[in-house]
Amino acid sequence: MFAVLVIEREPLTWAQLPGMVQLWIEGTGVYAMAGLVLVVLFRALRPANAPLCSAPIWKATLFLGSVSLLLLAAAGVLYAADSTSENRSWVFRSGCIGAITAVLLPILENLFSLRWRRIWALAIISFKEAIRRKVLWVFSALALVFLFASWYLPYTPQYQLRSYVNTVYRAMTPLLIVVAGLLAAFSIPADLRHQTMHTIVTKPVERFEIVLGRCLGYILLMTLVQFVITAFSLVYVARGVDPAAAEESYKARVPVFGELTVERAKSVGREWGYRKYITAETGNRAFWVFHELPDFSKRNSVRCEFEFDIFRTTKGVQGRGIYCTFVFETPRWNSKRLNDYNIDREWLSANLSAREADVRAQSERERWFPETLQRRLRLIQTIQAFRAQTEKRETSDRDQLALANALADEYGRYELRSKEVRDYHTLFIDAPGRLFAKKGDETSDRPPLFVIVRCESPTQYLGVAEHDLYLLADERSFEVNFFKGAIGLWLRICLVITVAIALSTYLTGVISFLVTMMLYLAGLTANFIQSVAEGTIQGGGPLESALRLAKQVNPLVPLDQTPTTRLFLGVDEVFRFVMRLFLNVIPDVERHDLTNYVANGFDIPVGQLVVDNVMPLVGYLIGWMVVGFYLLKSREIAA
Amino acid sequence: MANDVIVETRNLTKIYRDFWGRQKKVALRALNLEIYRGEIFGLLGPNGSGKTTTIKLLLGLLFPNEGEALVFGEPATQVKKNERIGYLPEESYLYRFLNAEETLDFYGRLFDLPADQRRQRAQKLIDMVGLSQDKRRILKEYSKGMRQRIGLAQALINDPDLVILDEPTSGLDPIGTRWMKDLILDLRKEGKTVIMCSHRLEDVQDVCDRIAILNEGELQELGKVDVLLEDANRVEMRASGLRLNDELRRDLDEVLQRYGGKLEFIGHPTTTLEDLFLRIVKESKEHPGRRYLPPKEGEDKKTDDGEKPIGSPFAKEGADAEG
Repeated sequence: MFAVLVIEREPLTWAQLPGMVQLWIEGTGVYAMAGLVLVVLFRALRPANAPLCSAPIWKATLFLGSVSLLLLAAAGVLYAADSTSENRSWVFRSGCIGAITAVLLPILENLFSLRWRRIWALAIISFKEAIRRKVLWVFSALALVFLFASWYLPYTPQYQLRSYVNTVYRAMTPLLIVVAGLLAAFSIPADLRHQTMHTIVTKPVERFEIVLGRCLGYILLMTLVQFVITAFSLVYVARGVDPAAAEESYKARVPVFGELTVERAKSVGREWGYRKYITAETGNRAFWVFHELPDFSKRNSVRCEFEFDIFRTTKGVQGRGIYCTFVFETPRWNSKRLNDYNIDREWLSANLSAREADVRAQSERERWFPETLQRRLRLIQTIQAFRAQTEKRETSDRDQLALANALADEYGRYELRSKEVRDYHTLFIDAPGRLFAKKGDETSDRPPLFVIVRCESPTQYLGVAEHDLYLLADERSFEVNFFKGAIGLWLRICLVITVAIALSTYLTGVISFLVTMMLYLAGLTANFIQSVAEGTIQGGGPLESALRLAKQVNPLVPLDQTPTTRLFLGVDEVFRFVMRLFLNVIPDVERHDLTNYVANGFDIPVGQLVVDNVMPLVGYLIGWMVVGFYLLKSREIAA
Repeated sequence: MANDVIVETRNLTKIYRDFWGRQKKVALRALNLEIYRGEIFGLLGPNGSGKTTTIKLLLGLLFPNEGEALVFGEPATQVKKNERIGYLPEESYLYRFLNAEETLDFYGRLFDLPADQRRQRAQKLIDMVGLSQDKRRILKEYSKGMRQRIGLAQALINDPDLVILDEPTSGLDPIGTRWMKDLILDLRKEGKTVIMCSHRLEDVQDVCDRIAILNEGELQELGKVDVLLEDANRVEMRASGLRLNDELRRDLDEVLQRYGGKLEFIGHPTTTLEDLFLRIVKESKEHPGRRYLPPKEGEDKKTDDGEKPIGSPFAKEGADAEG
């Protein structure tokens, strides 16, 4: 089995929301200020202008913009004087909030004039246009994928579902994105070219309504199209699923992830630093700390799934993995009781079927301490109670679970030794449910669960990442999860449509489409662009890289400090500065790719969709809507 | 009178510039106009004289470089004024994938009209423009004249107080042209103000109360049509019950000379080609089956029913067989 959820970037959480908003304000505020300055300059230089809003609101905008500009300038001065000053942050943030408000004032005034009926009319027009011009026939190209893709996909039973999911998403994505981009980019320019726009703007239509109506229309259209395609895709993916694949991925696991700490992590020389390694020789361990857990107290067992990377320095045993010890500890666990725990575990293994009278008899024979007797009586009672609850379970499994539950109930600990781990295979442990029972003696400031993993096999390295181990809280419907995954694509479609329409209020259709696609593609490589802009990438900027190529110097070797090198590095610094300015314009497209969740059978939490996908997208698109408003409002329709 | 000023331009100037702000063309220079409630106002001028630019400035499709245009007392760039305006562009720039009903429903929505009102008005206007039979056909299948009709219907969907028509008779056949002119006159009867610009001077002459003549972006003439067209140095008279002969011509010449005048022309009046055409079409509808018969040698033109030949070059189908 091979269900791997690789998450290189931790999804945002509700707790991070204030920080996100603050970052958004600081990022957007600077752009808002720059935009406002441009608008004022443009209007001053071009006498032929229409008012963007009523005179009082425009005065308020100018006033607020001026104050914000002063605040931002003051923040700059404070930063130059003392870069650690806390006051600077507040001054800067106030300036940003002021700039955003100033830019939004004309739009807010305009909102009162908007009428839903007009926006809906414009939306419906977009819808009808696409349908009657038979644009949607282009999606029949997907039939080729449905008909012939399976000819080319490598067939491995357990990979089947993942391959199909990846294929349909990979086929849907470019087609839907390109068609959405084309439709949106050419709509307003076509209206302007054919002058149908003349008959619209000479009605009491706010120009912002045109932007909103077009966006809404195409988003509705693409939503409908995507829904149909997703439904077909689901049928294609789900028909005749191999049982191995169903076991592997035809589900939506609800994982509970912990926070990973690795003691004295080892490097095995792999370039991808996603995993850290532990080994038996050094005895270093991997700790997962679970800060929050759902209520598992009523369960007999809680499944803990994991998949690890094994880096072998020796061949090992043919067909075997390596062996690890897993320890689950709760706040009730007291390490001073480790000896008792080990002795009790051995005793209990040998006396699983003992009755209370047998225990008492043994106690008298072996002269146990009274507390030992009481403890073992409790253990036996717990086992009996567990057996009574789980009569239908198989005996051997039930006995082991009963033992584990009894010890967990008594000690707040569960230890499993010599668990075989295979390279990149998802395996599981059933942790006893009594581990999670609330007994009132927990120390409140300690996290509810630690999971500790040790490697037992000498000369082998175990690679672990934070999301390699999780508790399985629930298993949900694959079908629902498939549609949730499609929401990621839908959000990207919304992004493309909004950006293309905002651009097309000023640019021609072709240019709007090209710029939109360029932004989208840049978004796919946003991490790389960010590392270039921040200078964290090995090999430096474009000129430094070119120089290294020409001189055949590898990226890790420092360059000689010649005048040419200094000049190149200086130009790269300017390049990086310019890139940093435009970094926020590039959409984070990768964020919305949820295929990995669906393909590997992991549930996409609704909360995560909202916080990690919808909200950043809304924050990004607000800027483009503002751009669309100002451009179309300033534009002479008949020029 | 001030309250009756529907459109006012003050020193209205429009200069087209390139991307870098360099002047390309002065399309309109310091135009001062007042258009009053209930009149039909014509904008005349050769191509590039600034007629359409003026209309676009009044509609807010263009922004003035200098001066201002006021419509209903509000700046032309205000959207709210559009609630009382109907605009028919030169070409009917409508969505050709919609049918007539959908088109009017769409424009009705843009005026935020409720559904029942939209339906009623659309039906009434479709009947009015004579497209009842074709209301379910998409506009792509319409002839130019039909598109002009549906264009006019969309311009009237909001029952506007001011109707702006850019080349309203463009693409219309003579029947359509007459219909359009009658409709413009009807709009005036309803108290609406109409501004139209046209190359067809006879249309402007027929319907407009006042005209402005533009050339090279400047106002050259402004005033009432009948006053502007009056030739005060000539006298025209009509008489009936007479046959024209040399004696009459001579007597009239003597009388006119006695008053210091001179007879320039005397003859039988001719009708206009438009009137002739309309009468023929009307008669052909009233007498189906009639057709034109070429006169035989030595004969005057004649129809099979012996009616007056001029204007009726028709014969009934099968007349030869009957007669």
